[in-house]
Amino acid sequence: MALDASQMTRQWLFSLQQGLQNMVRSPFMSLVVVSTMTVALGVLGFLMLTLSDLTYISQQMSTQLKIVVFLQDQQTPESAAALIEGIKGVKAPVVQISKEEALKSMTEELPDLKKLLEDPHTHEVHNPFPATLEVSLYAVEKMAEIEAEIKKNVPGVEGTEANQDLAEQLNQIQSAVQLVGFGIAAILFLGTLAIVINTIQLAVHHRQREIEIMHLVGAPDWFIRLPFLLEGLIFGMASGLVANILLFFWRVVPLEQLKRMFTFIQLQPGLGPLYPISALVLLVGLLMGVLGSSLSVHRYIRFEKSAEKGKIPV
Amino acid sequence: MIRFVNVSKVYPTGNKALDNINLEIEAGSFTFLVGTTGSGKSTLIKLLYREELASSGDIWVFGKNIEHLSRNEVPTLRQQTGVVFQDFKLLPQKTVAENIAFALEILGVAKKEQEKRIHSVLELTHLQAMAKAYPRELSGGEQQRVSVARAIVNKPPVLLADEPTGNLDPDSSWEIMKLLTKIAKSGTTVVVSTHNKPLVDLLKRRVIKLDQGKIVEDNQGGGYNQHGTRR
Repeated sequence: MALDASQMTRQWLFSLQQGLQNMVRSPFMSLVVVSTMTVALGVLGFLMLTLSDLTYISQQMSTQLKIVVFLQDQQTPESAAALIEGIKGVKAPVVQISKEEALKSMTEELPDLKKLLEDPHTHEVHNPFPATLEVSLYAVEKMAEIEAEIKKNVPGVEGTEANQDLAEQLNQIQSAVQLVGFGIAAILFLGTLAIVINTIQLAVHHRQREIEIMHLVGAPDWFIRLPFLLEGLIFGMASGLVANILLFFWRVVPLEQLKRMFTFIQLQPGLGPLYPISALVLLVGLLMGVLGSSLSVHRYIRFEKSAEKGKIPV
Repeated sequence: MIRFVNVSKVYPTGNKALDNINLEIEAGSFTFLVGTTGSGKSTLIKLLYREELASSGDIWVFGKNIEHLSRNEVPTLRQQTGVVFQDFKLLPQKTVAENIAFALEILGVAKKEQEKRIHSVLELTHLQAMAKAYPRELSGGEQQRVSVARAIVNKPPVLLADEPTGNLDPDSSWEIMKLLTKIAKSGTTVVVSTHNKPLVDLLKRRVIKLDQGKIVEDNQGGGYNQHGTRR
């Protein structure tokens, strides 16, 4: 029986109306699903925000990590800097500190040092400090590689200093936090999905008679599934929105207080990554709702259809 | 119109519900299926609206072998087959009119057309005054009439009734049977499974008696246990 567009529209509208009615008729069940999903999505968003902040902190610390190159007296900082800037992975400009600047800065910090370095007869100040270059990198994990290249290819290098260990530790902490965070997020997602499936399955079971009658009067499968999918979608959207409100509150009120109390912690300015994370939380909520409801209705309809076992040889 | 050819049905438990049934039911006729519990009456009805599949054989309805329908074609068959049950199968949270409209909403019938058809079936089933009542406010007989109204609102060419008077008192049962015969007169093929001997005897319609999944009697215009004209 071919359906025209207006018939199809009416079928869709009726199905959507059924979905909304179902939710209103079982407010407690709806509340259980939405609150469970909200908690899971809130924790997920919180984890992602924290991960993002930790990554930011570690990146900030990483940018402060530099290779310090000490030059022999015959090498000019300008030419060494030009050579180093040509190495892949080096962030230009390389900061140049001449022998004189090094001495000046050291004697300013330690005024007594000047007397120690001064020749008592000629009053000439002996400068033992080498000219140095501070090399910033794009990727801190390339530190050892670039340090070796500087030593090998730049002439007149007396020595280098790089805090490779710290860089590696920072990288490891970042990876570990990401791994644990995503592990927890995945477990949370699966756990919540199971709760959503079971709760919606309860709702489906609750409306067993309605589904049975729909089948009897010739409703197609999509028509039976649609109200439940809509319900899942609304559950997902509502939970995502409530979770986002909580995340905004966390970012704007308690976290700002913490930032003021612990000023040494450099968190991302403003709302930070809140917008993309909120969008992701909402998306995960919608996905979880639709997936949860479609899986539970699918399981139910499959069970119902199992009566049609096919032909058994007599 | 309806034709069973060598139809058998064995449930996964091994219970043989129907055993090599060969049967023809004419369009617009009224047929009783009688027999003891477990004789296969309900299975025969379930096969007709594809609630069950036969284990072997073919079932033809409107020239179409419904055993070979795909899953997507089953809803169309059911839209053309009204079904009435002993337990009414009404939705308690919907009014009489809404219960009847449910079958039309599923088909996407326009509101005006819905109202017209609902009015017509309410008139036929004498339920006009109860359109806004809920099933819990109705007697068993009235609830069964709502169920019949829902089954025929889509004007199906076939109406199946599985023990429609099983839960009703004699007067209500008689009302329902009268209603079903009236529907048959309008051209709908009606198949009724029942235990109600007095009503079967009284109505003098075709009676097919089943026993252990086999047709043991087929009486044209006969009673429950009479040996009428064998077909």
